[in-house]
Amino acid sequence: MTATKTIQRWARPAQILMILAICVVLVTICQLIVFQFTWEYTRRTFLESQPQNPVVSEADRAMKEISDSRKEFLPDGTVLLVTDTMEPDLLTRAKTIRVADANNHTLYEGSDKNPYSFISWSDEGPRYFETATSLTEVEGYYGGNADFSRMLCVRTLGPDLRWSGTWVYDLALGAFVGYNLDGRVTGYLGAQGLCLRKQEIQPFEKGLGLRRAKKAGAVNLTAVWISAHSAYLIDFEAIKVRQVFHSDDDRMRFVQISHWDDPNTGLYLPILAISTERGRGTIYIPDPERFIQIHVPPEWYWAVAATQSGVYLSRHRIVGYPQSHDHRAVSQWLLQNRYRPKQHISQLMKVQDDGDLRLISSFEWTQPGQVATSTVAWEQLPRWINHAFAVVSPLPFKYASIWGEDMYQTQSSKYLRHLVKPLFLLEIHGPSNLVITFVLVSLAFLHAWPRRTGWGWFVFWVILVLAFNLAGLLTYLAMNHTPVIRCSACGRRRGLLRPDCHACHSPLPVPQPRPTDLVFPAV
Amino acid sequence: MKFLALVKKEFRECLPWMCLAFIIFTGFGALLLRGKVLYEEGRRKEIWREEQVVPWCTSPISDIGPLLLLTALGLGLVMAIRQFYVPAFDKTWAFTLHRPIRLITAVHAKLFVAILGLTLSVGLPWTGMFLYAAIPGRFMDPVLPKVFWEGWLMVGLGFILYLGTAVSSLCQARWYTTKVCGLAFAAGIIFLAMAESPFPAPLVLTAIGLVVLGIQVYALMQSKEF
Repeated sequence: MTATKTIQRWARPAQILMILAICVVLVTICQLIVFQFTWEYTRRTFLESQPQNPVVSEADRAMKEISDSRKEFLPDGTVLLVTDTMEPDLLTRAKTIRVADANNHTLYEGSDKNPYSFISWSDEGPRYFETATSLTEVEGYYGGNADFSRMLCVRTLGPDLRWSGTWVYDLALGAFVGYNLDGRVTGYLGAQGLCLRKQEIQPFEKGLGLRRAKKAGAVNLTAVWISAHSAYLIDFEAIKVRQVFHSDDDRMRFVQISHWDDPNTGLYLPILAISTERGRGTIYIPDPERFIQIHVPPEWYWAVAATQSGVYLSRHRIVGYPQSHDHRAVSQWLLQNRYRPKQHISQLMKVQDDGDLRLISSFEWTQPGQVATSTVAWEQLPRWINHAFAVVSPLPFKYASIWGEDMYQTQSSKYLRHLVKPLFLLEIHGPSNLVITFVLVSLAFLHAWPRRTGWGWFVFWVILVLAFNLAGLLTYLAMNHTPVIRCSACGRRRGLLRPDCHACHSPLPVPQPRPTDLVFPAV
Repeated sequence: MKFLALVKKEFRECLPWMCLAFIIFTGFGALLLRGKVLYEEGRRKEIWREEQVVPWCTSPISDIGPLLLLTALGLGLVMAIRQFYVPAFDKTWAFTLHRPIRLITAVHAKLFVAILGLTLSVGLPWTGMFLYAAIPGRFMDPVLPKVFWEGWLMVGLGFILYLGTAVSSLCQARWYTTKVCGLAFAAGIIFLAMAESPFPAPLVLTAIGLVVLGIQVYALMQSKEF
């Protein structure tokens, strides 16, 4: 009987939790649907109000051409402006290229086999685990398809290019486990390299990304294991691990790779570049092996190239762009400056063997402010509309949205990212939200007062509506649709869940007994 | 004995659906598995191009995942409708409850048969398929043990839908009010559990769903409102 009573005691909280969760989701979905319709309408109105064919001066057109072109450097420091054009014909898809000097005077126009040899830079490439954006996503259910979790694995090929085995990353061990084609474990690959026993494994730091860097001529992959503070070069051909970067007090910003599998190996050397959030840079050239430590202030984005004549560094920045890589500061800056002209600086530098940077060439240009297009951003929507739709959101979501935005930026699973995104689309405005909350709490109060059965539940319902706003009120109404009658003694409204009146404590009226007419008289 | 009699009654009523689920899952699952084995035999002889070497891959038996999930959800839904909705529809609750038993015994019998049904029709065939696939050398990529537990978690999600349907069936509110809340909550739990979270998260969500819905099934049965 104790178990039965316990279940009955917990049944109501369980029901409240269930209905509250559904109400919160429903209210949010309704808000977003109406909000989306309003934004669509506002966007069209905004676009229609823009001049259809704005008059653009020759100088503005030239400035835009310069801004839209790629800025390329020759090793001697000459800056070239390059514009690629793809023919609209899908069958031929011919590509033409225009090369201009720094003053936008055309030097060459024709096929993409142009006579200039720009420096070919390293690039960041796909930072994450190919299609999965993080290790967590690899390890979770393959969302949407109901597939089982995926494996982070590297297949190895034999000299005959036939499959010879697989290295599977084991999240619990923090290392790769090697399997041969018979399914037997052949070894473990951890931070210290290959080992044959599980006890000897030194795990990798938790991975943030895996970049492919296959060496020219090699059959199997060389991969860069990227974690928050370290980078490892894992050679699956020679089964070797090399730590190329480690910092206890600084976090990785980007890892760039280039020319590892380049057929023109005579021109460029394979290179690996690592940048940290504080501006520390490490350049690793494997053949002959050397490390160059550089320092580039964190507001610059940079790339490197190693040629036989030396190591070059190209860096670029937008004047005023936030130095910190905090996504909130960057979003705010972009929001404020979207329609303003921006000043860009690109520089070519030579990297000395001791890590010093020598400026060779510099180029500055102005990017015109963005013109309103069909993809008008959310910020076109007047703030009061956003606040108006958010007035029925729970006030604690104001703080949850801050958490949600952080989670959106860092969350690995794209499904979860989509789930938390609505949390911060609607901006909760504290004062207006409080007013609506007060109105809804008053409604709940007036509704609950005659129906109250005890002070505990009464206070609970008021707090629930206070915390969850409209969703709380809907939950309250779903759980308390008790009919009310007028008390026969005092005339006040009273609920039927309680045997006595909450005001005068008189019991429910007892029906007057009537004479029975179904009893037959005794004979 | 009374409990066993109830179990027999529930089992008899659900048996056709359990057999259907077993046939669908085992039949299609075996076909998928066989196809995968044949495909792998061809791949062993294949000459690889370097771009085929990708740093992630699905489990060799991942094709069975959607079939397993859909079968478990379908069976959970149908068994709950048969056990909780049909008696209210054709007014046969009295046939179950006229016995000198406690209501909680009737709930236990229904839940026992639901678990038994999911285990026999979906869980055991899944275990067999996993054991077949996990034999070393069967596939070139290893079949990891965690996939086995992920499969059983999908079976557990079938039980969540069973409980959600049971709550909706027993609830006496109107269909457009809180009657659908049980089903909606179960659907939400299933959606969140499959949303690419790493393994402990789906497990915790399933446990929350089990507790919230399970308590309500017990309480609604004891309220005798149906």
